[in-house]
Amino acid sequence: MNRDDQDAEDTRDGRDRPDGADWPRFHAALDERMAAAFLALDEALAACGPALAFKPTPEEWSPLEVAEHVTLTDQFLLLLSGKLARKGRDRAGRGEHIPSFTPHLTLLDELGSSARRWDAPASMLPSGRMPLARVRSTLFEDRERCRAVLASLPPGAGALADASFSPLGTRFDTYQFLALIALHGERHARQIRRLTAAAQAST
Amino acid sequence: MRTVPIVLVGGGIAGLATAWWLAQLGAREVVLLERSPALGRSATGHSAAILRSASDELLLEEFALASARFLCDPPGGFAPRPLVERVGVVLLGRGRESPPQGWERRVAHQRHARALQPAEFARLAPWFRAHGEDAWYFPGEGRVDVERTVASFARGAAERGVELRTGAGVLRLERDGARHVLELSDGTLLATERLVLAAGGWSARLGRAAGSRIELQPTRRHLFLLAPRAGVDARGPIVWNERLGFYARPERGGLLACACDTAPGAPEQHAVDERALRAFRAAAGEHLGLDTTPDDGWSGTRTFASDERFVIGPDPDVAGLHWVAGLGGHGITAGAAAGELAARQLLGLPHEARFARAFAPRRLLGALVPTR
Repeated sequence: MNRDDQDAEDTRDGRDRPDGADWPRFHAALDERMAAAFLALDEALAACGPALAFKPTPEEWSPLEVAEHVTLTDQFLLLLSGKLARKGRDRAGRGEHIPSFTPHLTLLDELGSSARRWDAPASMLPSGRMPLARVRSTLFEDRERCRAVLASLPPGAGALADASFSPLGTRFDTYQFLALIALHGERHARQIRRLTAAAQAST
Repeated sequence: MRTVPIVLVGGGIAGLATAWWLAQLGAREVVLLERSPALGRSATGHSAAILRSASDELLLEEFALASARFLCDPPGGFAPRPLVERVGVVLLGRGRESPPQGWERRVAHQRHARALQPAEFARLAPWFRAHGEDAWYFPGEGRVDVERTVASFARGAAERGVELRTGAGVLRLERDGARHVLELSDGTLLATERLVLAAGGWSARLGRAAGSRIELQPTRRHLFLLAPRAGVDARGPIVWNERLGFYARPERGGLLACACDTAPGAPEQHAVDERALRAFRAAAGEHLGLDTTPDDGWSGTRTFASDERFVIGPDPDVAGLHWVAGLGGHGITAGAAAGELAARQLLGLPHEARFARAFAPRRLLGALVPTR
């Protein structure tokens, strides 16, 4: 298969249209998105004040529990990202063809729709016993680990390995898993803000 | 409260192999606890039962080969015949224009594997569609008789005095000076100075209760059983497309297949996720040319450390706590060797230092990006 054929195949696989594959720029944009998501989470938590333990109903999570859930989910997604990053680095090191277009991250935004939601598995349910300081320091470490995974990838190498992610019924490459961490964090930062506003309105 | 020198938690392949080796090497008064009513029913019982040694990492491959020798040629008194049905494993490796992977470079010069020509591959596994990948045949590997392996480890351990207790989950775990105190679901208390966590997906939870900082992640992967079909030889090989992530093997006249998916999950979860089923059906179309609803399916647990290496050795922080966990879906292949390494470490006997270093729990603390 020549490179044009490979690129055509990439397009059929659901990647975006050829964009000249500015991988350094793509890495920077992804890094920025991850940083923004973790910052949003941290700011939302910092702004909680007495609302930190507020639960609209006994069944719903408090802002602190939401944040704990994010850390538990990050642990799983970072495991996958790290695993794929190792494969991607290995394949890049062996000279595999780096795709000439960047991954279709807008696909992930569709996952924000309610139709694509799924219940968090037991391993990602918050215990409610994690103190705020530990949640925030864990989120900081998660952010640093995300950066480190991304920084460990030669430009484009994250697109060389993917895995079937059955909760969403699709395959994601390293970049998409990192973007999923950001998307998940963004979503829950909004949830924490909503909960804080609801707590303030109820007092 | 009863005190015993060594308590193992987990009656799957890792715990049983460790118990068997401890007994063989002279340990006395060992108690193994299994929360289920029977041994080997959790991750071990829901595995694909495949012996496959090839790995991108040479160290893991050597460890797996040591284990494979045990299963293929069990020691006297362990089992009367090999525990592996050597139907062979075919690995589909590099794509059309890709350079060879690490294991492909190695096996090209080894005697235990050989390259298959496309026609030979089609004859061996007419039910599997290759996509132009190179095919490597490992004739000495194949299907592990998991039930017999579990039974052999259990029998051998019990004969040498290991107490195997089923239906004994750990409800609470506390420190009392140098001892770990366990409250069990059958209402009894046990104390020990050496506690071994070999409980797969439950190990991290127990470790946290014991004060450890070691984190492991249980994940789920689905397996599906496809109806009997013509052209499937029960003695045919296991075929694994490494590049695209799909494998299948003959089973009950049909095929047992897996799309190598990953999902988060608790270790007790075995139900099939509908989205995983849909993704599997698409993959089965691509690799098996089938568009059919599986006859059966389940999800099994694979537990990983952040660098995907096994976790075998003493906890870096908690005295008397020892790990045999994080086998990451390689328990069937590597369990016997994992048990031997753990038992030798526990008894202070000579063991291979390179494996002990590579799998030491200590390595997991502090690294941002796990490296190998």
